[in-house]
Amino acid sequence: MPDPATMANVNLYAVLRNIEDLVTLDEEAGKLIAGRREAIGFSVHGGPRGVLSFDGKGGGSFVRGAAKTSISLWFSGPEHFNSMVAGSGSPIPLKGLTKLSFLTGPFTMLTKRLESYLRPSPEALADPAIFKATTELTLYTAGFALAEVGNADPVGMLNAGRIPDGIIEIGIKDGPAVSLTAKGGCLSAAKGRTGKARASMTFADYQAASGVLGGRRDAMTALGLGEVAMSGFIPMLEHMNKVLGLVPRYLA
Amino acid sequence: MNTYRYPKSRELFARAAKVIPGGVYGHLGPAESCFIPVEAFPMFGDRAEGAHFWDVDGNRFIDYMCAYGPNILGYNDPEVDAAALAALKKGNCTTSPPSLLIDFAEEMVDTVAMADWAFFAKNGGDATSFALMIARAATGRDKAILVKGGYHGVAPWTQKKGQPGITNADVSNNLYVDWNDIAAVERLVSEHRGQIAVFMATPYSHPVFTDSELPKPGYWAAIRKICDDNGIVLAIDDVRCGFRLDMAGSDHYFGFKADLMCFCKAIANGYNVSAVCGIDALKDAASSIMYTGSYWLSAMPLAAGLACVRKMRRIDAARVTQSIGKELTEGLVVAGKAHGFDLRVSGVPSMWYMRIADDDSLLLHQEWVAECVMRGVYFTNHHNLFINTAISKEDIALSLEVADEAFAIVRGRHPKA
Ligand SMILES: Cc1ncc(COP(=O)(O)O)c(C=O)c1O
Repeated sequence: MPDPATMANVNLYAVLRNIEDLVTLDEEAGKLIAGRREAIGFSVHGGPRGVLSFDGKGGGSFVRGAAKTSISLWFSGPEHFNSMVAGSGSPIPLKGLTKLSFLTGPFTMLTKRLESYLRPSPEALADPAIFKATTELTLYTAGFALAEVGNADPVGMLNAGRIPDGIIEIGIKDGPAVSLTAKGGCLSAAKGRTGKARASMTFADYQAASGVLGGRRDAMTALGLGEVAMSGFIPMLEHMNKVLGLVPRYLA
Repeated sequence: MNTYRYPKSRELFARAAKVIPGGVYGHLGPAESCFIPVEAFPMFGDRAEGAHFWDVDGNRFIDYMCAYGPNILGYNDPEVDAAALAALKKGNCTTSPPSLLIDFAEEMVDTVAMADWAFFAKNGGDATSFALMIARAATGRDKAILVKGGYHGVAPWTQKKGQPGITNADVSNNLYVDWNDIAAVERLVSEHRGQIAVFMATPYSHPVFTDSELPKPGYWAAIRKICDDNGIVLAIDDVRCGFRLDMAGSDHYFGFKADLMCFCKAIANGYNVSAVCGIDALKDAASSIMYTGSYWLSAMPLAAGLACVRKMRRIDAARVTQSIGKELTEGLVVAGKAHGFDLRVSGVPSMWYMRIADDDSLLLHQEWVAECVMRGVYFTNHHNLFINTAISKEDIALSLEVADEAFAIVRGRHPKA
C-alpha cells in the first residue's frame, strides 16, 4: 500500500518538480508560460512544501520549502494534494486569487503536458525528441522519488537506512544524471554530477535508461547485457535498488 | 599480455535473458558477482580441469573463486569422480537409500571433532535452516542471535526486513549483533531471557565488500560460556570455512566446541551434498523434525562426499590450501606495493579477502580485478576468494605476473591515486 504522506512528497518533490525542466524541454510547455513571471507555492498541511517559479524568460525552477510566491495553494493534507495531482481535487488558493485563470488555464495544461511525458503513448515515444525528453524527465522523477520513498515509506526507510554514506550517481552516459546523497540513512537528490560519487549506476544510452526506468527491463538483466553499468561501493547500489523497486508504487 | 574477449558469452547471455529471470541469477550471475565492468568477465563456462576452467570462448582461467568454494581438490578430481561415477552406475536416487549414507556419516563423525552424528541434505541453506529448527525443537524457544553481515543462505529467515519477498514475520525472531561484540550478546541474552534458541555465526566474519575479521582472543570461549549458562544452542555455519581452516572443523581451529556444525561447499568437491553435524544431546531433536528432499539420499553425491572427505584428510587439504594461499597473497601484496598500491589481505589465506585500500569506493580494486580476469586470473572484487589444492607453483607464478601487469595498468590510468 502506498503511504499517502510519501505519495504527497513524491508528487511535489519528484513529479511536479519536473515542470522546471519541462518548460525548456517541451516547446508547447514553453509557450504556455511565455512572458509569465509567477511563483506558485504549494503548501500541504502535514506534508510537503515547495515553490515552482517561472522567470518570464522561459525558464523554470523549483525550490523545496518556503519562498516568495505570487500564487499560494493550500491543501488540507497529503490526500487532498494527491487527489489534485491525480486530477480529481482542487487546491484552495490563499493568495493570487486574481490569477486563478493562470491555474485553471496554463498551469493545468502544463500538468497535462507533463503527464504526456511521464506516461507517453507509443506514438509519442517514436519521436526521437520526445523520447529523449521523456527519458530525461523519467530519470529525474525516479531519482527524486527514490529519495522521498527512502525517507518516508516504511519499507523504503528500512532499505535506505542500510545505504552506506556517500554520493550515488544515477545517469545516462554522456547525458543527464541525478546525484543522490546518503547520510545516516537519509537521502537527498539533486540534478547533475558532482565528480565525487562513491558509487554509480550508468545507463549505456537513453534506450537503456528508458527500458529499466520504464519497467520494461529488469536491472539485473540490463546489467548482464551491458545496458547499465554499476561501479564503486556496490552495497550503496544494492540497497538503493531495493528502494528504487518501490518507486513505481508511487508513480502509478 | 593478450587480453580476453567474450563474444560467445555475450551471445549466450542475450539468449539467456529472454527465458531466464536476470539472465543468470544468483551468485554466479553478473549482478551478484559484481562483474565490473561486465565486458571484463566471462558469462558461461565450458569445461574445467584441476585449478583451471575454460569459458565458452575458449579462454582459460586460473580459478580463485573455486565455484564459490566447492572446488577444493581441483575440478574433476579423479578419486572423487571415480567414486561418484561408480555409485551412479550402481543406482542413484533409489527407493531404499544406499548404505553409503552410513559410511559417510561415520566418516564425518570421525573427521569432525565435535560430531556425534551427521545428517545430509543438498545445499548450505538446507543445513543452516535445519540447525535453526533443531535448536528450536530442542529448546522450545523461538529467537536466534545472528551476526550482522553474516550469510546463511537465502531462506526467508536469513534475509532482511524490507527486502523483496520477505515479510516482517519471516525475520521477527532474529536478533543481530556486531561481530566480536561479546557485550552485545550478553545484553540480548538478558533482554530476552529464556527466549533465545540459538546463536548462529560463521567461524569468523567474512562479509562481502569488507575486510574479513578473525575472532578476537577469548571471543569464542566467551560465547560458548554465554550459551552454556543460558541453555542456548551454539551453531556454527561452516559452509564456507569448512575444510579450509581445519579438517576437524572450524570450531576446532579456533579452540572451542560447537553444538551444531553446518557443512557444504568443500565437502564433496562440487557434488551436491551438505551436512549438519551435532552433539549427542541434540540427536533426538534432529530426528523429531520432518526434514528431507527428493534427492537428499541419492548415492552419487554421498559417494563423492565420502571420497572427498577421505582425500582431504589424507592430504590435509586445510593446511595445503592455507600454505598456497599464503604464498599467493604475500606475492600479491608485494606486487601491489611495487606500484604504490595498498592491497589489504584479510581472513585465512585459504579463503582470503582482499581490496585495494587507496580509495573508499573500491573503484581501483574493481579496475585491477577486471584487468586480472581479462588476463586469465579469475578473481572477484567483492567476495572472499578461494584456494584449491590443485593450484601449482606455475599457477602462482603466472598469477603474480598478471597481477603485476594489472597493477601497472591501473597505476598508468591513475598516476596520483
Ligand atoms: C557461510 C555460508 N552459509 C550458508 C551458505 C548457503 O549455502 P548454499 O548456497 O549452498 O545454500 C553459504 C553460501 O555461500 C555460505 O557461504
